[in-house]
This record gives sequence, C-alpha cells and structure tokens, in this order.
Amino acid sequence: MKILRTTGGGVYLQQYKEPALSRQVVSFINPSAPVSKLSLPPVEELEDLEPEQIIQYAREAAIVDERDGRPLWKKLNAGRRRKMEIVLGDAMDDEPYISSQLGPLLHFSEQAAQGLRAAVRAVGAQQMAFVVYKNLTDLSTRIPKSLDSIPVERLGGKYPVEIRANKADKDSKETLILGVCSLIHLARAIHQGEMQSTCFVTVAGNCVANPQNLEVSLGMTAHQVLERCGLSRDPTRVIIGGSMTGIAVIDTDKTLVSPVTRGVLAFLEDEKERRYRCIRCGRCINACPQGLNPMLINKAIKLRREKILEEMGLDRCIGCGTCSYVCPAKEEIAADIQRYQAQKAAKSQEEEVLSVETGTP
Amino acid sequence: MKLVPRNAPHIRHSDNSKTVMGDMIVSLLPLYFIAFCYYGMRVLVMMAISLVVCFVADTAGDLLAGRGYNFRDFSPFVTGLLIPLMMPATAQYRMVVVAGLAAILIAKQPFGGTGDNFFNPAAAGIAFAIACWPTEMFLYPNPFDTITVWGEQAAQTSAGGAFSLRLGGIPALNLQDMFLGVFQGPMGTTCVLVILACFLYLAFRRTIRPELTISFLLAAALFAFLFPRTTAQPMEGVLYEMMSGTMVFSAVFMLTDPVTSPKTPLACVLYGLVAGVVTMGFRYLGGFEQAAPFAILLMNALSPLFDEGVWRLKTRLLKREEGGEPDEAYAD
Amino acid sequence: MKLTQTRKIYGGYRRTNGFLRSNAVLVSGMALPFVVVPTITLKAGVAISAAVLCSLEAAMIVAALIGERLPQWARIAVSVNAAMAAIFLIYPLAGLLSPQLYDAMGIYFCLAALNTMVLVRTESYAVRHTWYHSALDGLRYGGGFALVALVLSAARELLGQGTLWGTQLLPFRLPAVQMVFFGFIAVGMMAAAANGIRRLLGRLLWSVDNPKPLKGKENSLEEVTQDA
Repeated sequence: MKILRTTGGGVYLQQYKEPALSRQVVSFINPSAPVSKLSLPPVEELEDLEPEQIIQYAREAAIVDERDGRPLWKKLNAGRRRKMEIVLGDAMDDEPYISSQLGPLLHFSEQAAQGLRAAVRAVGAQQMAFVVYKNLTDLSTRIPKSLDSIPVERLGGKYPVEIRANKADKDSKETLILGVCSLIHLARAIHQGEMQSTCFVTVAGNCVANPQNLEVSLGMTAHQVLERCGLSRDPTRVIIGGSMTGIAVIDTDKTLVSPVTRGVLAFLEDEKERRYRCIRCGRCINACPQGLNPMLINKAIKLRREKILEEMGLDRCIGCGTCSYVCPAKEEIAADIQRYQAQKAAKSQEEEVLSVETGTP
Repeated sequence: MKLVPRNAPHIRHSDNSKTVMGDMIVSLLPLYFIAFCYYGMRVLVMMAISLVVCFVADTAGDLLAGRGYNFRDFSPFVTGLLIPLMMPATAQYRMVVVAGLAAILIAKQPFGGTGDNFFNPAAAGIAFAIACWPTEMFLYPNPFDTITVWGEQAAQTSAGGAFSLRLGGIPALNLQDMFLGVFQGPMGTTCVLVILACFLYLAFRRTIRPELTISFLLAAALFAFLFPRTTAQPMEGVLYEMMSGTMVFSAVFMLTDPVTSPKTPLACVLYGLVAGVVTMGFRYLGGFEQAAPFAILLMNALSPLFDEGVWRLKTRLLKREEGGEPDEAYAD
Repeated sequence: MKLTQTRKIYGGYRRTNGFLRSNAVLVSGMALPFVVVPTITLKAGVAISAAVLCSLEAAMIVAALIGERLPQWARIAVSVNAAMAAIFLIYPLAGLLSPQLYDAMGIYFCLAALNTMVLVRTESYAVRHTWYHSALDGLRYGGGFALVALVLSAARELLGQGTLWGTQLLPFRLPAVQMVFFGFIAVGMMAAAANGIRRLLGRLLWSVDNPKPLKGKENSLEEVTQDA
C-alpha cells in the first residue's frame, strides 16, 4: 500500500542498531513506584468489548503514543469519527541507534498483535499491518514477513521516512498510524488491566558498555538508565530522543524518562569544533526531502532578511535535520530554522496579546 | 561528566570542509607531478611561492576584515595551487606573486572571503596576470628542456597551440602527444589524460558537479564542430581546439567552483552550455588566445540568474500541479 | 562617557563637507568616471583635477549670483556654460604640462564641465547661499576630487609604469593597473581605506577623552565623581 510519496531528497544513514536490537528487552522497573490497576476489569476475548469500551480502556490507562506524544484514545477517537480504513502499527525506526519500536515489536509480538487488533476493532477499520523500515543495513535478526498473521510491510527510502509517513498520515483520510509501543500498552491494559507505567527506551552510543532496549518505569532519571547499561567512557554528549532529532541533555540527574523518550544515547567525540564557513556546495539542497533551499534560508536567517524568508516556505520544514547532517561546514541549519520559527511564533503571540490588551486590530 | 548543550542532529556526515578542499588539493597534485617531470624543479618553486602568497594574503584579509581565521580551511591553498598551473613554466616569479595577490586581495577578500566570493579567484588572478604581461604569459618552453630555477631564463620559448589555431593553422602534433601533454602549453593544462582522471575522481566523490563540465565541453565541442577555425578535418579540429589552451582544465577545476557555480542540476547544465558558447566566442573574436578565464569571470557574474530562473520555473510548475493547499490541520 | 575633545574636533570636521567629511568621490560617489579613466599618470591627474576644480568654481559662483532669479532649466544652462568657459581657459595650460595629455585624456577633459558635482552642488547649495560660501564649497568639493585623483594617479603611474612625473623610480611595471577596471577597483579600496582611517581616528580621539582606567578602587571612584 502506498503510504507516502517520496519526492527525492534525504540521505541513507548507517543504522548501528546492533547489538541493542538482538538482545532481549530487559525490564528496569522502579520497585517503589506504585502500579495502579484500572477500574475496568481485564478481559480475555477482544470480541467481548464494544469499540467505545476499547477507547475507554485506552483513556483510563493514560496511554501515550510514543511518536507524537498525543494520547492514544484521542487518536482512536479521531480514527473512529473519520471512519478510517487502514490502521498501521508504526515500527519504523529510521534514526540511527534507535530501535525502541522495532525491538519490542520483535520481542513482544503477541501483545503488539493483540493491541493492533484492539485498535482495529476500536476504529472499525478493514486492513491492518505493521510497518518497518527496509534499509536497515546491519541486522543480526530477521524481521519476519508476518507476525501473528498480521502482515509486516517494509517501507524503504532515504531518511527521513518516519517523519514523512506520519505527515502523510495527517493528510490522508483513510490511514491511521499508531506507535507499536502504545499498542503493546493497549493490549496490556485490556488483557491485564494495567495502566501505562513504563516505556521502551534504547540505550546506545559509543560510551555505553551494554547497548540494549530497556523497558523503563516512567520517571526514572537518564542517569539511572545509563548506569543500568553501564558507561565504558565518560560521554561528552548525552541525548534524549533520536540521534537526528533529539535534545542534548546537560544534567542527567534532572532529566526524566517520559513516554516520548525513544532513546538515551551517550557519545564521546574527539573532534574539536572548528569554525568553517558555508562554501555553497549545495549538498543541503540535494538532501532536503521537502524541496527547500536550506543554503539560502541559512544565509537569510543569519542576515535577518525577513522578507526573503517569507517566500522561502519555512512551514514546509519537517525538522528532520538532514541539511545539517550533510553540511561539510557543520552549519547548524536545522537548529537555526527551528529557533527562528520559535522566535517568530513568540513575536506573533506577543503582538496578539498586545492587540487584545490595547484593543487595536 | 561534563556535558555541553549541542544542537540536533547529533551525528554528522564524515565529510567536512577540510575533506572537500582536501579532495581538490589531492586532485591537483598529480598535475604538478607531471609538470615536474616535464619542466623540472622550477614548477615546485612556483607552487611554493604561490601557496605562501595566497595563504598570507587570505589570512591578512580575514584579519583586516574582522572575520576569524581558520587554518584548516584550505581554500587559499586551492587557489594557490590553481594559479601556477595556467602559467608557462618559464613565467617569472613576480608574475606568480602578482597573480596570487590579485586573486585573493581583489577578487576574494573584498567580497566577503571564503564562501562569499562572487568571482573565481584563480580566474581573476590569471586574468590580471594576462592583462599585465600579455606576451610573456603565452610563450611556453618545450617539455624536457632544462629550465633554470633562478636567474635569467635561457630556455627557448615559443607560442603554444592556441596561437596557431588563432592564425587558422594546425598545431603539428599527434594524438598521443596531445593527450599526454608533450607540447608547448601552460604548465598544468596540457596533460588532458590526467585532468580527465582527476575529473572522474572528483565527480565520484561529489566534490564538484559533473553536469557543469560535461555540458561545457559538449557545447564547446559542438561550436568548434559547426564553425571550424582550421582547415583540418572537423573532428580533428575539434580535438585541437579542446586540447589547446586551458579549456579542459578550466572546465574541471575553475568552472565547477562550488561557491560561484549554480546548485541545481538543470541550472548547472544551462550554465555549462552557455559558458561553452561564450568561451568559444571569446576565442574566436577576443583579443587573447586563451579565453577560458575571462569567460568564466563573465559567467560567474551571471550564475545567480540561472539558479533563480530554474527555481521560479520549478515553483510555478509545482503550484500548477498541486493546486490547492495540501496541508490540513489534524483536528480532533 | 566624556566627549569634550571629540566635540571640539568634530566641530571643525563638520565644516570640511566634501573634502574630508563626505568626500565627493569616496563617500558621495560623484564624478566617478573622471577620477577613474583619465588618471593614468600624475600629470594627467593634475590636469583633470584642475579642470574639475575650475569648472566647479565657475559654475558655483555664477549659480550663486543668479540665485532664484531664473527658472531651473535656464539656471543650469548658464552655470554649465560658465563651467565650459573656465575649461576653455584651462585647456592650453594642460599642454604646458605635457603635449601628449590631450590624447591620453581624450574627451574627459572637456566633459568635466558636465560632471555630477556641477549639477548637484549648484542646484542644492549655490542657489541658496552667497557667492562667497558657494566658492568655498566649490573649493571643498573640487579639493576632495583632487585629493582622490592625485593619490590614484600617482599610485597608478608608479605601479603601472614605474615612473612618477616622468622620472623612472621602480624597475618593474604592471600595465594592467592603468586599465579602467583597476581604476574602479582602486576607488573601492580607497573608499574602504578612508572609512577605516576615519573610524580609527575617531576611536583614537575617543580614547583621548576616555582613557582606560588604572587598576585600583580609588581611581574608579574618582572618575565617577568627576563625571557628575
């Protein structure tokens, strides 16, 4: 099935998912954290539940979709209202080092299948499938063609694939993409009556001694998670999230794990920062998946040319970071664009508030 | 652990400016080796002088203008390597110095330094040297003659192939000599075989945009085929035109300068075609026998037009294809 | 921040409009072809400066004497004719410098009557001020032009031919320096250098007024009380 229309651009990335992907998904539970049970009773058979009841389970269990941070029950509700035809379980991990969706899919495949069936029943769709990323170069495990008689679709292409697929899903009227971890939690909520109290996190990087996928209690600090897997060296960079779109952490003791944390990565880099200048090589233009011109956008942001930026189409930017990745001068193009957009949003919000206060349009 | 805030993405491609410029330098060194085999030690002295002059001028300009310097930015070295290759091996050292200073201090630093120069600095330096010494720059020694490194020049110099073509004659060469460069011509531009090998290396490493070179050479060859200057067979005439002067060298190293050339593939092809026609026009109707540096300077001035034009064409086509607004908010 | 010395010098600096403050060529960009094309040798530079200066003076004085009495088109015609008359008088003097000058300078000598400075300064300054002030203004603007033209022509002759006023000084020559394109480049560089000099002098002047404080607490207290 055709999910997205790749228009060129993007870059093939070396994935580095082993050895974390092939190892077992280990639990790292906080023993003193309270585990609440749902008020609704656990059921054995899915057919005993009405679709609205499944959505109730999702709501009570406070399940959050790990890709976009939205509550699962809201997504199921929207899918049901719009009468979506296809429900996809998203296990595309196209960012290097991260396998926090693919690992649990392979190791908890029964629960994932149960969750997907529940979601299909809740939405009232006809087709369902799991989606994985095809261009994983270094895998020790084979991804099967079907899991528990649900087909596993392979989606290939250059990075970014997941971001573009989710964006296409927003535009389409018939496909609903749900994260696989939220489906696993949905299955647990229905069949075991548990609230979502854990999330799946990949711990990897060249400073981590035992890279693994962990099932971590919500609220653990990044420091504890890193210690659990062991640090072989002192890292210079700790990242929450993906390796291409994540956030750098300054204090690991104050950073908590949340449902949208897909990974805790620790890197040690030797290269010193050098101040190179943009040599207009144009690699960012070839790499941009949305067809923007990051070279000119970067120059316009630096020189603060507001008028030019208006016609550059910055709303099409999806924040994948491919432009900064390929830039030989190591210009921070993606970060500059996001900072500029945040400033613009803050300024327009200020103006709105001012206009409301003073009564001017 | 000492952690510093950094921006996403947190992994980067292994190419950096150092490797990109390093690629260019690596592809120019074989030409110096060949020139050394043909002309001796003087070649290396010219290279050293040019490198030092360009580097000092570039650093001085950067400091004067208040931009920080970065010694690992090898771009003045690339300019310094390009300039002597277009001069005869008997060129006096002051020509190398003046060309290097003009290249950096006139065509590069006042416009903004590395990455912001509007004109190719090597082309501007050579153009300045040609304007200063129009006769000495076009008198070439024979290969394998001994050339003294210091002091007076005793080697016999004569005009190169481009001069004979200008008069309508045919240079007396066979094909093998032409490809290997065993004839009178600028130091680094005669050995076409090595230049083509370097082009393949650079094209596969994606350091340069190969569409530029290929379209340039095709356009120039077509022009030479349709309007021959010499009385030889048309295909032979085309080969003579290509191998004389700095055509192939400029097409590979100077036209494809990433800063001054267009970025999108279609704009590159158009740019190359127009540059080929303009170069041949300069050759036929211009005052000097070498045309490529001047044609490249002219095309550099026009290069933003090609990018803009193709951009506007694309946006107009996309608008017509998509129609209405494709993005709608996901409201629930 | 103290500005006593700065104010004193700036007052005098403000009265050099056209010469140092907003130089006619380097800042206002007037009469560029005349400063770029004919200034190949120092003698030619002297000749073109004299032509521009005298024509500007004549035009300014005549325009100031006419004032508002004539409409604009008539006023311009008369001032330009006065400038032309001045050039007629100067023309033979250029031959005294060197007979080859007429060929070297070509049309620019006579065209100096119509340069930007004549048109702009007569209409914006001379019609509203007395002839005495207009003459001084003409001197300033013409002097600004002469400053740039003389420096440029000396440099171009020295670098281009190795001579200065005909006597050989340097052994080498760079003929490209005497071409027109280098003239434009050189004017650009001079504008940058002039800007740099102005900023440097301004900063030096400011540091005379505000010297860097010595280390120690008592000195800083003294400065604070003195300022108030």
